[in-house]
Amino acid sequence: MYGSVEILLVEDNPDDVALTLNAFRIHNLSNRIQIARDGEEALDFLFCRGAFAARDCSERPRVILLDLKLPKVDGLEVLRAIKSDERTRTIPVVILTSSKEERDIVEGYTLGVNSYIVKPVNFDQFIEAARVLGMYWLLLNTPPATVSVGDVS
Amino acid sequence: MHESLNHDASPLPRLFAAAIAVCLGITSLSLNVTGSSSALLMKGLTALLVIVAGAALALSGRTLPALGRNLINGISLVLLAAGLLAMSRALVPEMTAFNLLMSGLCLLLLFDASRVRVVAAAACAMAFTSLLGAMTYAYGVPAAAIGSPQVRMSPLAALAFLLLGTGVLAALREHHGLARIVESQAVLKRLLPAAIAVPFLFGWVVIALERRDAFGHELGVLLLVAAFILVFAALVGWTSSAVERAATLRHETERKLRESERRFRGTFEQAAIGLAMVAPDGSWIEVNDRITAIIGYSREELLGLTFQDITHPDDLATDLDLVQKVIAGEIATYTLEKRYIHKNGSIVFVNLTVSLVRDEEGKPHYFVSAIEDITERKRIETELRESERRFREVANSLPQLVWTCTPEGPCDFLSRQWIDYTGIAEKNQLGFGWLQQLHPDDQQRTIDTWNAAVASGNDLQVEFRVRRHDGEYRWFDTRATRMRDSHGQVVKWFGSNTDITERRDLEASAKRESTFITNAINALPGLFYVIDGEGRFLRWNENLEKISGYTREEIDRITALDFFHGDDRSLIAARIGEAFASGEASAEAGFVTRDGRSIPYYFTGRRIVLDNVTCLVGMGIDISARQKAESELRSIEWMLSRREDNGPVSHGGQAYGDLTKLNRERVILDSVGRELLDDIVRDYLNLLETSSAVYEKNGDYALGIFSSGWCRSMDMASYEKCGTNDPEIALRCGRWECHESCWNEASRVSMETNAPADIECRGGIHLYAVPIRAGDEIIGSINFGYGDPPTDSATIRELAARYCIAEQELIDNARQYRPRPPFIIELAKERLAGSARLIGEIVQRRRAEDSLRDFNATLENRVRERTKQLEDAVSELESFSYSVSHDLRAPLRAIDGFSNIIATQYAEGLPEGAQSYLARVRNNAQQMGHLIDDLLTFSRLNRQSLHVQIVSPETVIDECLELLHAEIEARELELIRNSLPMCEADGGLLKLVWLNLLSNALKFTRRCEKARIEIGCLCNGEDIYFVRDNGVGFSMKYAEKLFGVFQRLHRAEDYEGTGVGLATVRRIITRHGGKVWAEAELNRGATFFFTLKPEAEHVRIR
Repeated sequence: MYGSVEILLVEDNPDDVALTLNAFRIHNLSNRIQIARDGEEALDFLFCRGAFAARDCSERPRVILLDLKLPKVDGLEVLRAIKSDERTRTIPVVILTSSKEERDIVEGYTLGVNSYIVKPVNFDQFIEAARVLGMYWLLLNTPPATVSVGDVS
Repeated sequence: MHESLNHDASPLPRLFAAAIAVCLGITSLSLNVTGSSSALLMKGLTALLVIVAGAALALSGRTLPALGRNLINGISLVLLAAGLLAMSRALVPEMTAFNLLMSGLCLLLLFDASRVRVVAAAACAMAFTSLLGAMTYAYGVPAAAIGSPQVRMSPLAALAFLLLGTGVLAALREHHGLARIVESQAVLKRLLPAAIAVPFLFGWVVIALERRDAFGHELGVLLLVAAFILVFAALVGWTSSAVERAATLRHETERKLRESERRFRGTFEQAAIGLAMVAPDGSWIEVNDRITAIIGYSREELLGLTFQDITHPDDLATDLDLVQKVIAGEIATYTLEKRYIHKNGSIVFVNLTVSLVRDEEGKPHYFVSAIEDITERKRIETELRESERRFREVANSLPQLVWTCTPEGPCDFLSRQWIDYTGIAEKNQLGFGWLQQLHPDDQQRTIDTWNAAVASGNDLQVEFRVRRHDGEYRWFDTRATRMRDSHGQVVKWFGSNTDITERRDLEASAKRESTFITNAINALPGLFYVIDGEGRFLRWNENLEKISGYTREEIDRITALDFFHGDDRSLIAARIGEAFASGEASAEAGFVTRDGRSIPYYFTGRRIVLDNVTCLVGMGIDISARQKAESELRSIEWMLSRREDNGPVSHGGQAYGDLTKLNRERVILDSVGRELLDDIVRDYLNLLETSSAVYEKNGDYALGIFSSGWCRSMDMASYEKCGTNDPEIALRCGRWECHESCWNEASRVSMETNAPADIECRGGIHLYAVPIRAGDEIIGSINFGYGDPPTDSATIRELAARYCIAEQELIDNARQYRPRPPFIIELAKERLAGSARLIGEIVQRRRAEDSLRDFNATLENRVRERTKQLEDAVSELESFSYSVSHDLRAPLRAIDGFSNIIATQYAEGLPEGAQSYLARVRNNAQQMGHLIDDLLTFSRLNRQSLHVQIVSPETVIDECLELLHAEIEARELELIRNSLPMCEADGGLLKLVWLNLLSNALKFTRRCEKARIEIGCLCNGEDIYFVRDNGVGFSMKYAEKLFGVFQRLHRAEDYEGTGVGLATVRRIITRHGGKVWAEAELNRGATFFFTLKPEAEHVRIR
């Protein structure tokens, strides 16, 4: 049931989730989006633990959209876990946050994030950002071969 | 000689003859082959055989190998066969055939020494036949005359065989010395050619002349004979003289040979060693007298024996073995020590040298033996061994460890005791191995001593420790001497080691004992002495020398009584006598030192007998301390009683007035107070009855009291010397002796050295001063005078002169002073330190109180100041931190986002006007977003560190205008840019400043018809940058509010903005240390100024 997931959206704010999904829908980018409400759930999904124990772990999302301020396990911790595990290291991670703090940006890139996007307050700009994001990571970017296993099957 | 003649024979004649014969053969053969046959030539077969025979002759040298001999034998057989064949079948002339047979015979037997004559005869026959043949041709005798024509050989063949015959003769001479046949070489050389040539020649001449009928046959014969006689007579005569000379020479040579043999015989017979010739079978052939003497057998007896008969059976096998080796040629000679059995049965040791003489054919001929009697040497050797064995026995039985060394040093014998003692095998110790058994500390010294002994020629004497088998080191006294042979040559070192450990232990313990006694005596606290009946010192301790001042030698000369004077002397003499009489006595007396001092002592004496001498041993104890203590006790008693009698000592009230009035420093005086100082000082006056003073840091008197009669009168006397009534002048004049001592020499010194000063004062007593410290600072000094006033007249006189005072007055004053015991003075000194500390503490506390008061006075201001700082810190908007900003933006995004969704995705269902309201909602949300962004920037300013560098403001402004270009280009605007100097600032933050100021200027000129913005710098002493516009401006009464956060002077609907911009500008400028301000007028524009450095810094740079 998770085999078709293309985007893992890690976001605790339901408003932001709704807006993000809306933005993607406007551009018909993907309806294969898995939502994780906190860091722990995101990691459970990725490493097929807890509620996702039954999931086929070889199926990996094509991109992870990660908020930084998250309950339980915060975004940077999630990022560190993803980038330090062989199985998930190659999945592109895009930080999508309201924080413009320099230290967050530096820390994110230090941990190996692939992109860092500040959520604009202006929804028009937000939609544009979502479009560009989806366009780039889902259509233009070529992931490593191991990631495409899920698509083949 | 025989041999040498043979050697002299040259192979050349043979080779020459053979070569010509071969050449003749080849010539004939080659001419035969070409067909030019002639009667002169040899027949082909003959030529071939001549060549073969010639070649064989040429080959037959003396050194021909066996193979060559076989070849020649083969050739000779061929020749013989050919000769027989030719003769029987008449293939060649008969003469030739005969010659072939002869030549074959010659070659066959050429090497057989026993057939020399046969060969010679054959060769001669061949030569004769050839000569005959040749002569028939030469003399023209017809062939028929000598038989049939087949008989005669051809002339060339005759010549060839003549040469071969001669060659064979030459070969014989080479091989077998044919020359012996004739008397000498001379005969051979002269007569032989003549004997051949002359008849041949004369015969030919006569025949030739006869044929011409020159004369008749008879006359021919006559002439021939006459010529023969003449020629041969001359030849014989000539030759005989040569033969004579040769014979003489030979006789002389033979004589010399005989002489040589005679000499050899003499040498042989008379040689000092035995010489013998022994046959290969061992029988004696010839012996000399010496051998008969050695072995005891006569010559005749010996010649009937073999050497085996008289050789000791044990040596025979060895000897025979060597003999066999010599015979076999494995060795040329041998030397052997062996034993013969003397005729009388005794054993004779000989040194035998044997060599072999071989005959001509290399077979063993006889042995030459040289025999040397070495019995005596053997005996000596045996005796030497025996002697050495006895030496070892003796050495091994000695208690010492005995050893010997070669003159060069390596040890070659160690007695068994040494081996047993060290427990180490002899072989490991010989040479220099024994050195390892020495104590490591002794090794180098031993080596050095040894080398010194070797170098100096002296005997060796050294003490060292040697390790015993159980590991214990024991001391040995080692002595060694050289053993010399009869020529004085050193042959050995002979040495012995004696264990001296116990001796050394005894010596050491005796020395320890002696040292102990000496030290014990010297450590006795008093005087120790032993005197004899006449009072002379037999023994004494160091104290006696130290205390008396006499040297050891001096004490040796004087008597005990010399240490006492006056009554004491007779007292001591009496007590010494008493002690000798009764056995014990004691006395108290003054012990007079060398320099005349008398020290009270208590002496004891007890009679003892030492080494049969009756003497007195005793001790003297210094009782001056006891006496002094008694005297001090008396003075303390006096002081105690005096206090009770006299009450407190009066003080103060010096005639010249109160010096503390002159005190300008007043630190000690004011802090401690006169009353307390008075109490402190009075204490010392009561105790010492001298003087005491307290000084401020600068020397001003905090308190000065002079008390006793002595000090008071001295002080007054020296004050009067100043000749003034003004104490201030007197203090500075330098003649106030007591003040000078008190301040300059005592108290000031103590302050400068930060340590107590203890001096002799000018007034004849002492001064003790200590510095007063308050904390780490020296703030003054306190002192007192002490000690007894002088009593000796010289000092009194000097003081009287210096102080201008009558001597008698001084004497009286001094007499009135009762001396204080030393411990009182020590006590006073200790207390003075306490007093100084007390004063210092009081001053310190006073100062602390003062500063506390000052502190309290300023406290209120400080609290206000600090409160303001805190308020500032609180107002820094740190609350706009990361998480708040984060959380504030999320709802805004939701508001804007959902409003947008409604407005766009649900636009159709919206009532009229809803779109407008939704736009307002979104507008507000976005405005709030800007506000948060600005505030975040603002709050970040405090956290962000400054990266100050040289920045060009013009570049920064270029960047700002670039950002603002959309608005600038949309407007009609006059932008004036004056040139700006470089500045030191954080580039990023400076850009924010300019951006805010420029966007403000743009914003507030928006409604101007002719907007004008000027950027510039008032660079007059201080770089003041400014942005001036002709916009709406503001009233200067709000100028203070301008830079506050969220402060806005205009309505939002007129001019948008968050109210954070100028606050941000001020924060940045303030962080750079500069300031920002504005000048404006409502509706007439505004100017914003700022600097980037503190004002003072500008000035300093200028």
